[in-house]
Amino acid sequence: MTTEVARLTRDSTAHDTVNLRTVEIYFHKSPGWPDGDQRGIEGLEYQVLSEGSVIQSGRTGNDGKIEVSIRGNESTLQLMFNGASVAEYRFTIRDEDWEASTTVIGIQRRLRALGYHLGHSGEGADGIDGDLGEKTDKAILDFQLDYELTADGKVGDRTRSSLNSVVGGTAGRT
Amino acid sequence: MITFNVKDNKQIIVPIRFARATVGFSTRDDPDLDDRGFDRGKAVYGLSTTDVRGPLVGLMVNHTVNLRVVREDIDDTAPLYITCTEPSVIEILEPAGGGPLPNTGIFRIKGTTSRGSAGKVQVRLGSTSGPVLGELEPHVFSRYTLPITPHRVRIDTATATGTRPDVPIERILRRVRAIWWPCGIDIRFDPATRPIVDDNIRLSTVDTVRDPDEDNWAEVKRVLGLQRQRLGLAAGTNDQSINWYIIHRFSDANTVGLGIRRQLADTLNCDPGIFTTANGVNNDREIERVARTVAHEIGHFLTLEHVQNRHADNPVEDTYGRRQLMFPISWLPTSPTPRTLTTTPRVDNVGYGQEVRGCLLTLKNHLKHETDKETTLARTAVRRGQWF
Repeated sequence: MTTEVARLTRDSTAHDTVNLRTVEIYFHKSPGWPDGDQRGIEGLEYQVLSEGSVIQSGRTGNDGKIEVSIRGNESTLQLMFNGASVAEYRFTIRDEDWEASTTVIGIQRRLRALGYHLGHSGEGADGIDGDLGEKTDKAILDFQLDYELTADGKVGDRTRSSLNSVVGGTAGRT
Repeated sequence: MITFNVKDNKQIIVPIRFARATVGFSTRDDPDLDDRGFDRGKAVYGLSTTDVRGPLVGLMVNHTVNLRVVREDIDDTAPLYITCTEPSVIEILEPAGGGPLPNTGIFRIKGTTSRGSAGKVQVRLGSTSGPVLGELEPHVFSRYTLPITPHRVRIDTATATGTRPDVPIERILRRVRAIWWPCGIDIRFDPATRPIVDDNIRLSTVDTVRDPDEDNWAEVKRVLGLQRQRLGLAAGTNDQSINWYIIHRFSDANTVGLGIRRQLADTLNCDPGIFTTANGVNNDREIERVARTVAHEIGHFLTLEHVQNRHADNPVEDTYGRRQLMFPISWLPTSPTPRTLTTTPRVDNVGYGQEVRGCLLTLKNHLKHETDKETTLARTAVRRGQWF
């Protein structure tokens, strides 16, 4: 989601506008969107930094949700404990559409959006590398078991359709 | 720092997962986890349930085990702590005070009481009262002890004398014991009370038992009767032990083991028992291979079926099927096949080394997986006396 926000800077005489985008981040104890039970991680203290300053802070509710604001093209989310940052996540904005779900990389992107673990290989260090290796194999099988599909590890029409449907609620893309 | 490249989508972040503490050969202290999917599956009779959407692990009561937390999507420096919801059942031994977890992610717990509900083991951020990042469901089992009696069988013919298989029995049985231990089933070899038996028998081919398909079980049944005959027991009675017959080979080289449970033995009008083929076993890899075959045949002995039997899916070719002890080894490809999205996955290394099946005895009971809940099935067979 993108919102235009009025901005008055120190040396200007009038407001200008900046694009402020928000993405919904959910911290979960397990991947996917199980019916009626999102397994959110409750009570995470956080702050969001962008362009060098803190632009958000708060604590997660029982859905584990944080609406992270992204100024420019990047924001950093810090999980806090006793006033100190204990874990950091960098979010960058992607302008291109996702790859088709007939490709390995397209499947990986969808599984990753649902929180399935793919490791940290690849250009973005997010496991999306186009390689159908052990971690992607496990993620596909886990997804099939979680959504009560034929758990054969193959991404046929039903698995693809189900994956698109589940992710569709999060990304609207097939 | 963990990076995410997002569009207008929602993004789910799951910071940690649980894993076996080590890789490679089976040990009693490092149980495998049933982490197939995050859904718990259908309720299993005999297992208490929680709302955990994570792995299940079986623990032998009063035994300490190692488990591992893998930091998938949280920084290596984030302080993590371990707690449990039922401290009267599960004791956190390491790290002391619950944390912080060492960089290895390994923690040690002990199931102190075999109780229906063992609650949850939880990973928390920052302190033992911090937010819960992930959960594991332990089950603490009381100990069922099953004695095993090994037999080294020399097979002669009318004209030739066979040789006795050369097998490091005690080392193999230590591994077998480790594989069954997380189910609360103690496969006990006690040489003082049930020493290794050296049997001799005369069959049609030296060092060979004819495959059941070839002679309608005739030679298999003769071998299975050796222990009862030796002890002078009446037909239909037994020595309440798993009799393990070690032979050089079956006439069909693809047969490396047999497990004849009581029900099948009754049908065949013979004694229950198990077979494995082995000879000249002298390195760790071979010992592990034979141990898994023995453990697999004990699975049949305790009423378990191959993973693909009565199964709606196709686990005999998928990676999770291959991780299970009850995977039929004859299906095991000798090399991984190239993988595409629409072909069958066969990850070569399922955590116990390459080109082998795993040791997992399932706790979950996934929809369509009619041979799941193996731990409960095996324990039920023991409790009901179906194993001898």
